[in-house]
Amino acid sequence: MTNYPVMFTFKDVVSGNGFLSGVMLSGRALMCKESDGKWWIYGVHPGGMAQFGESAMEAFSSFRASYKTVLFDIAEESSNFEEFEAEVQSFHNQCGEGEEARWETAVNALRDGTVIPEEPFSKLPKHAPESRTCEVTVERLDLKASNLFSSENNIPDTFELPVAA
Amino acid sequence: MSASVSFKEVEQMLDTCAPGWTGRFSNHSRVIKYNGMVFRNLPKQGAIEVGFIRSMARLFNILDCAKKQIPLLAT
Repeated sequence: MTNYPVMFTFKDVVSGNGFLSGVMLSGRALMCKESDGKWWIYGVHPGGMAQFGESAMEAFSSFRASYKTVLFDIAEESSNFEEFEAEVQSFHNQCGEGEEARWETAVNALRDGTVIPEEPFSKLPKHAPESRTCEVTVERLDLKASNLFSSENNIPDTFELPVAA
Repeated sequence: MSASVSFKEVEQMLDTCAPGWTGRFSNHSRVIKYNGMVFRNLPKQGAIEVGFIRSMARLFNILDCAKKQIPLLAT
């Protein structure tokens, strides 16, 4: 069973109790085809979620949708922006013991050629993980002057393989 | 091949491997807390695919214990 390390970036606008927030997350996950025949994606950062699908891309799509519902749940549970920001940061930072090492091991297997990626991984954009900081930023948008909004701030989802291009 | 278990089995595993765990429903999923960690997308209804349990057990650092309680995790 091959573990594929992946990197992703999601940007969302989330309505909360008395605030509007922009959340941009650059995360890490491991993907593999389990013995049940399904593709699974296990969050490393954030570590508190997983999803699956009949294909790798279906699993990633489900993971993306689940991530958004987690943000919606956190927004509903937070009485103000500060609570929301703290909980989203905590959600992103949580990681099981040894999971970062498992991700790094999978990256090294790609780098040294032990693992030759199959499709769709072989077709994904490739970036060195050092160039993709694993982080989350939570911004309050409703207090921002409207003339600071720009279409240049729109960022599409990314789904990448962590090796040098 | 289906690889899922009931939430009752998950509860029994958590009682053994993660004493003091708590669970609640959010709008979209079950939220399970243990030892300062929060697993946020356990399905709310129906049988639970073992991949979710595997991910949660890794987060809680209880995978070895969980495998003994839910043998499907070991496959």
